[in-house]
Amino acid sequence: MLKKLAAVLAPLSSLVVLPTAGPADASATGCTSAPGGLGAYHCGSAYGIGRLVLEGRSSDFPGVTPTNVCYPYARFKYKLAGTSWYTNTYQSAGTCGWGKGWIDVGFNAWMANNSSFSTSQINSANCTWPSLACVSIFD
Amino acid sequence: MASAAGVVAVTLVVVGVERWRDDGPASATPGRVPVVEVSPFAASLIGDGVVTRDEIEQARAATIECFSAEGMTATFAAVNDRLSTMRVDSGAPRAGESQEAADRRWNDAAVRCLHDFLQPVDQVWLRTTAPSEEQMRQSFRELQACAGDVGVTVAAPTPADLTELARLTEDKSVDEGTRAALETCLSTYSVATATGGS
Repeated sequence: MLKKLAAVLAPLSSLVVLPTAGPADASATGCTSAPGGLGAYHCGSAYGIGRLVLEGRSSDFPGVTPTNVCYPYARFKYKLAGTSWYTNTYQSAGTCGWGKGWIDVGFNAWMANNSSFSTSQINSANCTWPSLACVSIFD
Repeated sequence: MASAAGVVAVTLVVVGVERWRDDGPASATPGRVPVVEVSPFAASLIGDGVVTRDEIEQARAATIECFSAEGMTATFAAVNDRLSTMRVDSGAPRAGESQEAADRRWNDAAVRCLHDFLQPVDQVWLRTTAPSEEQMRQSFRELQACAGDVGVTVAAPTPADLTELARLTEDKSVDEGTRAALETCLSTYSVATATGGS
């Protein structure tokens, strides 16, 4: 299995990338600062095999001040194989969790070659859609 | 399978976004009384201070209808008899609609449908059906036992302890099996003790 890292960069006013984990087979996680309280950050993970995306994860951490993160609502934007547009899937968790709001979504879907798989999240600690964190998918 | 050599790489991006809350910007004038706007639909269900099972089902049905009006498909999946998760798929942009316009419309609908039809009702529903103090204590004992199984002690159900537990699930110096186990412990606890937030 060939492993590469590809960056999909949206226009930025600032960019902070905290340590990005070394990818396991076609999977990766990275974290960055995010809107919210002091020290708030967002992590995104994608798990897949080639262009087959099995699962996506969106996690939000409200920062150093303990906060109950309620109603995490994640947006996943992706292009399915055979389509010419990007679909959006939104997923709610419906619960609260101390210090972390996370959502897993199963996709089990083939994505278009040379497309991106992106995610963001709103929740009770952050009700403005932040910029998308993107994953590059290609053969 | 094709010679799938595709790679998933994550580039996380942050752009400074001013934080707003329901009561306006975070720097709102001190002393101002926050006004949380509730839609007429939600108000009609929560006005008496409680939400019945029939009413939460009404709210879920109305949410599905709201998304449907935008060509989106919403489905609910029960977690237990109190909690449900919701998944919404956008489908394709409308004929002649650009991707950017469709994204904006979908994002707006995602926020509006939740706000107008689901969240306020769901919050009161969770409060109406909140676990008793004894059930909360029992759930915490189960969390302690669950975390204890992987060698982690949780002293009390305080924000600091629970936040530290959440942090451990992301701490790369902790082995992956332990992190996954702690995440399951926290998830189970969150579901069992969901009260609708503050």
